[in-house]
Amino acid sequence: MDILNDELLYTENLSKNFQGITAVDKVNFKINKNEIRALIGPNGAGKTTFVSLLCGRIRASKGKVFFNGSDISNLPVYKRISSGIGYTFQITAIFSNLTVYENVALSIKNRRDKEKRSIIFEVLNKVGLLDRVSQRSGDLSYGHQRLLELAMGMAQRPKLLILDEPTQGLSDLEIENFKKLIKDFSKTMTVLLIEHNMDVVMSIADKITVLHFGKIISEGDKHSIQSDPLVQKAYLGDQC
Amino acid sequence: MRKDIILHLSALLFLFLLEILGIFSEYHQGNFARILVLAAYGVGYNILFGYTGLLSLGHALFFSAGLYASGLSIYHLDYNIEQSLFLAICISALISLIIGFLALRTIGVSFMIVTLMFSQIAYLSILYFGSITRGDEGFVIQQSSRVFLSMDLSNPKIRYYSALLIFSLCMLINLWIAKSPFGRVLVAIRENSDRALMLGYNVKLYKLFSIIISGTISGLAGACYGILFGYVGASFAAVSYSIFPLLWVLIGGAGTVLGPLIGAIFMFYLIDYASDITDAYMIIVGVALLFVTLFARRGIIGELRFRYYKWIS
Repeated sequence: MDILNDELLYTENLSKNFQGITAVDKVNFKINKNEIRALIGPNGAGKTTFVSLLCGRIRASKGKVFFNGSDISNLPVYKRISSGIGYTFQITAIFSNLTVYENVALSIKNRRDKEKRSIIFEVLNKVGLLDRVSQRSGDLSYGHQRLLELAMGMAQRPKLLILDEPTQGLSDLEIENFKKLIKDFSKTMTVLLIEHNMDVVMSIADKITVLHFGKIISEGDKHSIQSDPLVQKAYLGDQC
Repeated sequence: MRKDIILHLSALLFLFLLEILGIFSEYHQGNFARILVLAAYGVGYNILFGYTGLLSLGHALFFSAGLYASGLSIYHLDYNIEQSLFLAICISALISLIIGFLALRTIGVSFMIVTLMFSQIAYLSILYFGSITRGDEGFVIQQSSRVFLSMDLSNPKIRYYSALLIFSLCMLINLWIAKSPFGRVLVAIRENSDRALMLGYNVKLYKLFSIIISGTISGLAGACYGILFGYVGASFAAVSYSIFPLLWVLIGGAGTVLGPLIGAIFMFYLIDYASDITDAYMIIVGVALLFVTLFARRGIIGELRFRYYKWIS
């Protein structure tokens, strides 16, 4: 397998300092096409800061980000997104005064009306919100709002979809459906998942990256991560 | 969508019929001509505040830019109406571009303060350069200069139709924006600008376009006000003329096409009738506004849309 051709995104010494505090420290990270990668770590490990650096929400102090073969380190957010990075927020961020249809429509750019409509109905069907297409999105339940956000990310047809704690606040049944959806997405796109729910991580991630104090301390499949003493120490402290 | 367009066209037809059927007294005809031009200004304000969610406290700057550009060009340079209107539109657009470019370096409260500051600079400049602008006193545009295509714009009937034409033009631009993908992005920015950014929209550029459209419409309304009513004065650049459109839009319904018109009618007649009752008419106005805010916090049209007619733009 040609690794170079499979690489979708990689970083070189990516760092971020906040007034002397290093949130992300010289991270070299790689993710391949059509992979489901989980990014885990204790609270304050720098996960959200790291993905914010990838999509440009935060400017890096040092280092570079390469996406789809190009250096995107100096691109503004909207250009990074247009180049194929999708991002869903940790705290649900939808346009609550617009309908479900309008929310998803906003995610789709440069398409003809007919094509746009077909994408909207397709993604809403996939996430199970087709019967709520005309509903004001602010009136949806929390779980449905999370699904709508997922549909918005999906409708962008990104090459890389970054999901920041997508299962937060979902019921067990909703989490099960969510796992199926992510598996389905990975057939057509790469998924980078920040998640605290270890059941979700272990059951769907192809590979796991563990971040601690802004550094990658471990990377591999679920078995190697589970048995890694550094990871155990990061999560359990001196108890292990 | 069709119902929506019919509603807005019917509103314009109604305003036309009020005049053609002679329903207005001369007094109300004059009032309504004034209201229509001011409502056009409100439409401009609504595009920035109601649709894009940017609260400006300095819109009098754009209104007075149009007012003075057309007024001074007629007064000092003997421009005709077409030339002065063209100049007013160009200057308003240019000022909006410059102010937008600078003010958009800030957000939230800072944006409000920066726009207020620019507006105050304009107001004080008008007073300072009194030899050109006639300062506080202002100046009158002679009736002989207020002729457009051989029509005397000081004639009350023609003035009303001209005001209606200007309002209709601005309202239809607003309706088109509300229905367009561009308008949807503006609403998305108002609702959650971070999310709009993360969907790949150049939020700053959209905001800048919104300021330019808003400022140009406000400038056009200002130019028409001077031409139709024959007076150009510094009071139109004062802070109160930045607050008025905010009140019209809030009362009528922010982010609704008819909101600025309904708000302007409501405020105009509320002040008119309250001032007949007492010199302290602002107390009555204040109480009435309090009731509107309490019982229709989305504004009159906004509340109708929220409760009953979701299809209204």
